[in-house]
Amino acid sequence: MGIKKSISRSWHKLSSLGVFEKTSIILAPWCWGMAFVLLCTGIYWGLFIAPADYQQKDVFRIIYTHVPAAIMSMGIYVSMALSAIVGFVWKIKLGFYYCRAMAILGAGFTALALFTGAVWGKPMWGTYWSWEDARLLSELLLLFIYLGYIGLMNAIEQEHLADKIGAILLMVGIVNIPIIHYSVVWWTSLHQGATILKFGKPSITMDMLIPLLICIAGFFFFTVAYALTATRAKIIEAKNQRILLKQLNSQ
Amino acid sequence: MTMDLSNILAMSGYGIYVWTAFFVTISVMISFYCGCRVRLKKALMTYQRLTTKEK
Repeated sequence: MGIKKSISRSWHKLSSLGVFEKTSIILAPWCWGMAFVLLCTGIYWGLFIAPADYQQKDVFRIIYTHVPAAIMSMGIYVSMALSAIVGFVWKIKLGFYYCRAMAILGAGFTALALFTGAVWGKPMWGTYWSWEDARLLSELLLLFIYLGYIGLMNAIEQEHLADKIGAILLMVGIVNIPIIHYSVVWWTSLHQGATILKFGKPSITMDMLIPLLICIAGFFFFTVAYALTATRAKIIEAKNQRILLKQLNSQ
Repeated sequence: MTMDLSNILAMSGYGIYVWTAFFVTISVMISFYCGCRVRLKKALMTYQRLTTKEK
């Protein structure tokens, strides 16, 4: 019982807004710096050093923006759903602030993955879009879930209610993530199968894989830096609102 | 050198697709970076203004 209590206490302490703000102030500049260095290296390597694909020629280089954006679109969603659970079950506000802050970046990366995929699809498949492709449709559904969440947060005035309903939407929507990942396995698809995130050896040569991993790491650090900065902004905005309300009540 | 540059720009005939994808990606990331920095700065300034007013 004592251990359970102390774990719960330290869990709440770690997720307190003050601790998060302090952590954000220290870590965010480092993460932005890492993101900048990794993205510059990865993009330069991918564009100018990596060899062209023997079938797709140079158009395959879109992989260096498309794959990291797609991975992050799903990764951000999973992190948001987990934060929603934390907020919903343990009543930790930080979880909700995180969800509110990250929804726009998640939507942005999903739109980016769809756009770069379409631009890659035109020369390879002969079309920008196919309504019969499960990977494309499930990724589009992810964009709609993000937009639905953002709409919901703006539509409901009572913050607590909005957070709870938003959390339920996020928790239900997580079903879509394995569907996106396995869509190329479960259904016949224009989209190619998994290249990196699969069991066994990745089906990509090392001199193409290394810059791709660097780009993914760059996108990852960008996401972490954004999460630290944007969530901190949300916390301060909420604080401002409380002070303003206090001042208005005292007048 | 000119040949190299034109080769790089051409990207074996797919230049328009490759450069568009990279240009949009970099633009999106820069706008997200600027957007969140501006938002944080604004929030901090408002916080400072409100707390000095409160004192």
